[in-house]
Amino acid sequence: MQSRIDEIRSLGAEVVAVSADNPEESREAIEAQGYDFPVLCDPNLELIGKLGLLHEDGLPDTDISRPAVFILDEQRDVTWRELTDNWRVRVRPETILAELR
Amino acid sequence: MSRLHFIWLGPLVTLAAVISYFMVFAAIPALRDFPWLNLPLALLGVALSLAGLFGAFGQGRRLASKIFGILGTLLSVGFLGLFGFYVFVLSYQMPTGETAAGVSRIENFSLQTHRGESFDLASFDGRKVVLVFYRGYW
Repeated sequence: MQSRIDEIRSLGAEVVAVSADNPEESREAIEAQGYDFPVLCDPNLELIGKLGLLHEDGLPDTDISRPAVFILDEQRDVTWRELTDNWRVRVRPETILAELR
Repeated sequence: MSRLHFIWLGPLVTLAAVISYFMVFAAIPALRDFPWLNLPLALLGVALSLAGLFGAFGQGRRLASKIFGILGTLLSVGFLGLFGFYVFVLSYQMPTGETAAGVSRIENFSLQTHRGESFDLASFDGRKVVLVFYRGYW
């Protein structure tokens, strides 16, 4: 997503990432990736739980988010979503760009 | 090269196929979504092991060759099995996301960024937002 961030922004969109990580634990790894979009931490699983994305014991002894992508319009209405059934397979930036156009 | 070389080459190729998937090719979407490169490579490793095994049971071969042939083949098949289990079974093990499929609007929320700053989704109101949920533990 980072590699296509300029194209995404030129289409009037911003990227926001969310995971269940603690800021303390994820900071180094995320900074190493060089993301310049907000990477949000939901360690208490408030948002993840509310949206029905909770994957209990998705990692050993750890509750995490299942992968998901939502595209929201300017009023935060969901215009597109991708809920993969296989966590190895991620949404590709090209798909996102096509949906934003 | 004698067919007996395949006894150790087989598991080596299979192991390399599995490890290189995670280390290298999982970063390339076309080779990650379906392991077009690594699965055939792992199968090739098993085929090499079987070739070595049949070679080891040829005329005049030593008992050690037979034993290593069997062990090598078991290793190859084991690596292939673990990889296949990960790709075709394990990575599908997650909740269905029925609730998420029904979400039509995201209410404003506030969460901390990885830098510990507070972030409001509403700060992007007026822009479209690509909201991406990750499994995390990068």
